[in-house]
Amino acid sequence: MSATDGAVGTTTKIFDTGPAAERWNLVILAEGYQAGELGHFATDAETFVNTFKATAPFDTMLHAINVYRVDVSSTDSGADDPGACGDGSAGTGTTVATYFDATFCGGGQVRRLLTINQGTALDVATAAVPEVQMVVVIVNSPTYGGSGGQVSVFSTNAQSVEIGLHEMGHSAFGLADEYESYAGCGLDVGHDRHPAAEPSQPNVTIDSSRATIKWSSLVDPGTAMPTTFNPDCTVCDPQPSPVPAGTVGAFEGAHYYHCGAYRPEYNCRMRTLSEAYCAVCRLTIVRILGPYMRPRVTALAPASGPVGTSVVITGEFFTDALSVGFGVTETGSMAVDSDTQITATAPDGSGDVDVTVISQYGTSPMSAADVFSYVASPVPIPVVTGISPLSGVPGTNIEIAGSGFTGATDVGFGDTNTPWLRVDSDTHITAEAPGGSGTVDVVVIGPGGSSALVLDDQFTFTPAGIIPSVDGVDPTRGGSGTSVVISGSGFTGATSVGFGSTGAAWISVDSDSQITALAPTGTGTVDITVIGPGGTSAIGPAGQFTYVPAAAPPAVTGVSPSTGSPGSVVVITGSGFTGATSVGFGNTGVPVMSVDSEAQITVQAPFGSGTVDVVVFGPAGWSPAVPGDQFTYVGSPVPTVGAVDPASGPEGAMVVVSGSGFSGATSIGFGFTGAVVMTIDSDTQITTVAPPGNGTVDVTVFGPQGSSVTSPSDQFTYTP
Amino acid sequence: MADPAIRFRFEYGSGGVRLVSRQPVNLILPPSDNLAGRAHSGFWFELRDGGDRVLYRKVLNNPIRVDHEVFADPGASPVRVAANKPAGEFWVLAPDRPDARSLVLHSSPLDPGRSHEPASVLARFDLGAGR
Repeated sequence: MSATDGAVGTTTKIFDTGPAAERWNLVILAEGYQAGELGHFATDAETFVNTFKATAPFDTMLHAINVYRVDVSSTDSGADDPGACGDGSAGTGTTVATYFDATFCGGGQVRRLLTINQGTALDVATAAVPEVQMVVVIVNSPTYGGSGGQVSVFSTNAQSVEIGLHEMGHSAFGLADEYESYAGCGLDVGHDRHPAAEPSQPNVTIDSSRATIKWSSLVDPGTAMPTTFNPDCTVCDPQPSPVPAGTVGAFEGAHYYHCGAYRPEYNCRMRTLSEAYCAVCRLTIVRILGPYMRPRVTALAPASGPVGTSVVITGEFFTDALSVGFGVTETGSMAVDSDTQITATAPDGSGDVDVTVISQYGTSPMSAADVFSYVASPVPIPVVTGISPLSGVPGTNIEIAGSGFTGATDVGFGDTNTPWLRVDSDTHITAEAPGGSGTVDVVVIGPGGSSALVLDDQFTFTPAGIIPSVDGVDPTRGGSGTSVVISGSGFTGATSVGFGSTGAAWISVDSDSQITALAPTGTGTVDITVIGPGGTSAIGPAGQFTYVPAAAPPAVTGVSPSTGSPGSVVVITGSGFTGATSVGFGNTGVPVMSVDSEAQITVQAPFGSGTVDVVVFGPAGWSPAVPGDQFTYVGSPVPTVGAVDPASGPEGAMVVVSGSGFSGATSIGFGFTGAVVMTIDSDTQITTVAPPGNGTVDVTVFGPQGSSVTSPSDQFTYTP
Repeated sequence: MADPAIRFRFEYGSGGVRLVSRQPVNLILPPSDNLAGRAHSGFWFELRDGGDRVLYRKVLNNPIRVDHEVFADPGASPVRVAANKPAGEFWVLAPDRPDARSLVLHSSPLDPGRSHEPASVLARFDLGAGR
């Protein structure tokens, strides 16, 4: 029945978030567990811790908390359970030998009052964990019960865990009871109205004023104050809550009194077990655990540098960081990388300063590990990261991108400095390209030196523009759409060609000395000019182009003579003959003998027969066929061979050729060999003798109008 | 970062309150409490300097148990019963301040029927000089 009835065994850190000196330490002691039952104790402790960890606000502050389990074995299992108790209940009468002397019916008064020797529990807890803040004792009994005090005591009954959480509210966080009766509603005597003294605990008050109530910051302006009042102070107030759960106000009936004392919410774990902690209780717990979650800085990297240095801060509890201070100056740039790392940029400052991290839980304490030493900022060396454009002629303005440009005094293009520059910012300069050629590095010269040569700083000079010169155009006359070849020089890079004040419809820079352009719409004589990088060509006679009206097509009004044979000289009259190049007799064309005038042409009639239209082809096309242009061939028609008999035979064979147009025939050929003998029997028959030859040949009859057209029917095959 | 602190251990009973031990310990303490204005009931302790100025104050739920909290059916509000012979032990954690000269306990009367009356000094413990 005392500490001699068992032994203190091992201490196990079952929830470890950090060193004990820097955490809120909860120690759980075993009571009424025999040595062989300590495995059950481990399970029971784990069950309680899981409930505890899931309870608000602990669930959000777990990093502040360590939990230890101390395996204290007892001689016997369970707790004393006296047979008689002051409340009239009957127990088992069991008496057991346990380390902390746990007993139901504590003090002989009430069965469910499960008490232990608290002094022994405090001794064991402080010996196991000197930094302990809260002691919990789990009694190995399935009977519901527990008690408070500095040590929270509860049995392994599943409902008893709530006793542990309620008592923890008292002993660890100084919370008062929020229930409104002492001995129980209907049993109280002398608990009608709370005395006039203000309770020192944070979660009960006698003040219901919205302005002065100690949790005024949590009261919504729309909430009535007091939120409830008890109309009959002789009893507990039975009314339900008039506001939604979680509403913070002033609810009359608290701290063991029916009236005159107020609680923050209608319900709370400090009023009824199994309820959640009310907002005021949660805030109180957070206020006490908060310092354990205060940020801590353990290292800086680098620990020195100029203004603007990116500093990696190592420590803990950074997740809720709100700002980072370098001495008294807050950084303008910080990133919470993780709960243990922040990256911040050193703001303006000098000397040695403490780097502090500020969160809702406070400011990190200063230490030697958080000292950052400012060093004088070196003058930055300019860095060129790019230029635009990458090429151009002297005089081109170049945009230079990079860093360290502040104070830049010059920009070099190779060996030549810019004639003009403007430092737009520390990262941008505009500079004019000086005279130069080839590809050069663009170098920014500043107080810190000259930028290093990099590929991205290279600028290529392009030749200064040459003024084009037009030496000639061909043709010099034409209409819209005429393709004009322009010759001259300096045409490279030409962008347009002017026909007077009108640009060419299209140009092709064939070479530096030739451009082909399509004449746009225009009239009269215009100067052709070429516009290139160096300017516009001068005007002059060599560059003139004359627009001519579109010519009317030729028209034939008469031919003379209007009849004749092939070879006859024919004079054609009409109009639009200037530039005419050929004349058609039906489908047979002949070149013009002479263009006598715009109104007359002389030609020689080609082979032909019958009556044909004589049409003239000029620059504007063909003359239309009209009755007055007709010419009729007279004389023998062109021969036609219809058959050869025999169709084969040796050299010297007599051959009869039948057909038409044979009158006036002048010769007959076997292939390319003319026959020596030819008798014109009639206009439709000729008798001849095959000349020397071989193979198969066409027999052709020649007459004044022409020769017969070859065909399979005129063929003769030589035989040996 | 932990600070030097002292765990003051007390016993109470019919003979009053007695300081039985002081145990140095490094840990983090919660912030000091403010009890300005009107008279307060309850229990708290104060660490005071040589001029009797408060260096640190902490409100506690009264660790001197003149009554017991008894848990009725699960889910119901607890009730209280007076303790037959109040006696027990408790500790308080206070900063180890070199300028601290006394530890003062304040409490409402240790009587269940008067525990809501204004608190007064329950006990004062001289911590000595040269701390």
